Amino acid sequence: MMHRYVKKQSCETIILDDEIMVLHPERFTITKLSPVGGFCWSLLASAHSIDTLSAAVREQYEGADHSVEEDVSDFLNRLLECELIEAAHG
Amino acid sequence: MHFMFVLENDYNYVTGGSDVESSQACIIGEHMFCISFETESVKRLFRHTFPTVLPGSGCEPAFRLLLKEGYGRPFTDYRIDKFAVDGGFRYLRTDYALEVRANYQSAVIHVHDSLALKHAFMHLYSLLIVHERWGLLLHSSCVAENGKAYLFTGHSGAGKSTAAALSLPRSVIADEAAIVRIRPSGVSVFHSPFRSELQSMDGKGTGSWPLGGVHLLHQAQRNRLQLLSKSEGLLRLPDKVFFWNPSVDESRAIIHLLKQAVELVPLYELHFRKDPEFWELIS
Repeated sequence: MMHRYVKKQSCETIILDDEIMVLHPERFTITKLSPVGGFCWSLLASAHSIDTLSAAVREQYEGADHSVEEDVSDFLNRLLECELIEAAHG
Repeated sequence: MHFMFVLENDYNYVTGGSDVESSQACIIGEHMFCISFETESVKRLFRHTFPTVLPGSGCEPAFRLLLKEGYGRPFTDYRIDKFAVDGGFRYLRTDYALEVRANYQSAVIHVHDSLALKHAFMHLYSLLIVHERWGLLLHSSCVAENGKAYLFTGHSGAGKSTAAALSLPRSVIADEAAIVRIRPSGVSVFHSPFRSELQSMDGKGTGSWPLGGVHLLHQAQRNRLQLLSKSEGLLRLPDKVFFWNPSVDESRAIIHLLKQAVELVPLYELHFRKDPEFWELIS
C-alpha cells in the first residue's frame, strides 16, 4: 500500500502577493513553495499519496511530463525534512 | 508611594519601605515602566547603561520592574534556560536572571554587570511587546530622514553600526536594536535606548517615525539598491527579531507581525560603500 501524507495541523499557510509560504511554529521556520508546490500543499489538507497528488497535478497543469511522480516524491521528501507533513493514518 | 512585588522563592519582594532605595518612571516606546532599584549602586548601573532613558513622572499605569545586582558570572554565551514558575517564567543566563509575572505587569531583573542589564532589559521588552502584539525589537540600526525612519539590518558584521555612523548628522534612532511598532494601519519606529555605541538623544520625545524602508546590508565596492518581494522579505526577517525561546503562540505572533510589516513597508537589498553616498539611493 502506498504511503499517504497530510499537513501537520500546527503548520500555517501564509499567502503574500499570491506566493505561498508555510509557517512551522514549533521550529520557527518559514518555507516558501513554488506555484505547483503551493497547489500540492493545498491538497494536503487531506491525505494524499504520490500517485493521487501526481494525478491532480497532471489534471491541473497541461503539459506535465512523465517526471511528475519523481518531482512529487522529491517535494514530499522535502516537506518531511521540514516536518511540515506527516504520515496519514487510517 | 508603595510598590508591591509578590514573586516567589528568592524573588520575594514586598517593597515600599527601606528595602528599596529609590525608583523612577520612564517611557520606552509607548510603555511606561516604574523601576525600583534595590541599591543606589544598581541605579547608577542603570543610568550608565541607559543614559538616554530619562526619569519621567507618574507611575500609573506602568509595568513594575525591580532591579538588583550581584548575580552570577560575566557573559559567556547567549544560552538562556527558561523555567515555568508559579505565576510566571524565569529566564536564566550566566550573567542575568529575569523573572516575569504571567500577567506581564511586573518583573525582577537580577544582573551581573552593565552588559547583562542591557540584554536582560531587551529580553524583557521583547517579551512584553510580543505578548501585547504591539511590535518587535529588531536587530538593526535606524536613521531618520525627512520625517521617515529607515532600518538597516543584516548578518553580524554586515555594517549596521557603520551605516548608522555614516548617516550622521541625521538622527540615529537606533544603532543596535530598533523598537518597531506594527499595526494594520502602519509601521513606525521609536527612539531606542538599547545601544551599542551611538548614544544619542536625537528624536527622543519626538514620538515615532513612519517606517520608510528596511534595508538588508551588504558591504560592496559600488552602491546598489534592489527591491525584494514581500515573501523574500518575510523569509529574511525572522532571524533579525530579538526574542528568546519563543513558544508556539509567540512564534505565530512574531511571524504575523512581520507579515503585516512586509505588506506595508518595502524591503531592499542595499549594497553600499563605506561613505554616506548610499543615502542618494534611499531618499
